[in-house]
Amino acid sequence: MNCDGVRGLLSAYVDGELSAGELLRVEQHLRRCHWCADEVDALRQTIALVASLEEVEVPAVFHAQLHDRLVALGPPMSAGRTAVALKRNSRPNYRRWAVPAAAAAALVIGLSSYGSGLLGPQTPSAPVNNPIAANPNPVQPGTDVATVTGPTQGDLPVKADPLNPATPPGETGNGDQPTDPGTPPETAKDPVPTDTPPLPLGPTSNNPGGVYTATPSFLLNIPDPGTLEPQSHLIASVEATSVNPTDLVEALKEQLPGATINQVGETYQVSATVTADQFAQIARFIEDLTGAKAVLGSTELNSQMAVAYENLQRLDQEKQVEEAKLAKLTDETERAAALEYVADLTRRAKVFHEEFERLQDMAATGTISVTLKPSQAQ
Amino acid sequence: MSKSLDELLVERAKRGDVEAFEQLIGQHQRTVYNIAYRLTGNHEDASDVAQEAFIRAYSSLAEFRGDSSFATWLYRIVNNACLDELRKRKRQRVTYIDESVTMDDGEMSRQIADTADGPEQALERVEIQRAVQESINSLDDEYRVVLVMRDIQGYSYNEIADSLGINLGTVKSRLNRARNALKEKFGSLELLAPRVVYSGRRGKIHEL
Repeated sequence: MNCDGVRGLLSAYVDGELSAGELLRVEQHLRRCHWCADEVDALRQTIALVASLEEVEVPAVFHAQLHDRLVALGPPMSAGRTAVALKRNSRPNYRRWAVPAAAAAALVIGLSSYGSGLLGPQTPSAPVNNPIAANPNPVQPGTDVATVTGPTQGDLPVKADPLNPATPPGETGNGDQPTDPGTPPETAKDPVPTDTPPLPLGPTSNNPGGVYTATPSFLLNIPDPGTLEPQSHLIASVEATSVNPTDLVEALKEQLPGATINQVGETYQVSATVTADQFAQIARFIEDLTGAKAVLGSTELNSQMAVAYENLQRLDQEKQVEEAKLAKLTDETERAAALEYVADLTRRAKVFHEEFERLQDMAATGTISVTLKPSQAQ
Repeated sequence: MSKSLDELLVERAKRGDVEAFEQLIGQHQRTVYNIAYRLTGNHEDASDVAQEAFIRAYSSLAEFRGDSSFATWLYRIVNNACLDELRKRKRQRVTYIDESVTMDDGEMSRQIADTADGPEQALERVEIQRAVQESINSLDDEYRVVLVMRDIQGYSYNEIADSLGINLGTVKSRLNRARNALKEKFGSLELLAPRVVYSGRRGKIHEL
């Protein structure tokens, strides 16, 4: 075979996608034709260059914009029950979509900011435009977080506990943090209670021409994931059969007040988010209750945390540089531009901040899902 | 068998738990966005298309039966959304050239910050990345899509043929054309190692 007959096959050859016959012919040719062998080298380098492209960052506004578009789309297709148990209180409100009022009321008694829980005008977009610090904590100071669990009668209360057991205080690796990141928000020295107007933190608070005060670090309350023990979200899945699944469902409901229950025919699916420290206990309890084995798993979170952290670090550095400039700027136009830039950095940081908190939530909790089938179906 | 986190989240999202879908977005937005960015070649379209893909996924979640993983299903939706966008764009305008520079200070600074090299090497790396991306952008849509699906996303020839509704031979020939066009570009930009440039010169008469 001559070079012309081979050239068209080299790309597929590199991928190992030639038929046996083609492969034989190409290999024979390559042994005696250096030009084509070099072509193969060049193709491999070309492919390697393409593959070397690093991932690009998702723009900071991406998730917020998507969220708004989804909200505009209306409620989801099925009107199932919504799990609202165990939301970490610091979760910004705007991310929440429609929450069935009854479920919300049962679970979040006492949390004023969850009162309606439904799509309100304040929900989707307002906080997006606020500086991070403006709304880190939708809970009124002093609100007892235990009320999140609602009317718990069982001996396995599902308690909202943002304290991550895998994150001992003092392991934050960031000595200059004024606030212990492991502290539950309701007792925290968190600078901002929600329902009050935003604290004078964002650049908006800096009067034009006045003295510029630097805003707090984006890394405030964010521990360096590199110093944390392995973080993961625990998962347990139980499949059980029972002569009378409804009894079991009742029993589970009592023990897992925040559980989502779904019925398909005679099969029930119960799933609940529980705190990490109660996870094993509850999983064992469910094993005892159903007589079935729980299959355990977990999702690693450190690498995702690291990404969010690095982004916050980078944005914070940019902010510090800009704020150092701001402190010296006197020209109004330049000042306004710099302020706008700081505001933009803050908006971008907010997204990663939320992402980090979401991951912390996940690390502090586990998901238990139980499938119950009637035994005659087996 | 243990359910993956995705499976659990999909189950919950299907039952109307929007928070679960939010978590799915969080899990996958990076990959989805990157697919969209490589296929469309600019951030503006990538944002649009990636959001569109999530919206499509959300609206058709009930149709997801779990025959494949959620990720596979979602990425197929992204690819299709990109193809739709490219078809639309073909009728409207020409490709972007400098988007990655003008719009993307975040990307650039991140690449610099991430590297263990000195600032010069880091800058060089950024330059190379930009040159590679621009070369890919300059390919015609039908070639770029096949190249990105194969060399960035890692799909098999069969999967590409299925997704695009073209036959295997077409996948092979388009990929071949795309890679050769890039090879020429990279060669002229001196991105390929010297011995290859040398042999390329020597082998010139054999090229198309």
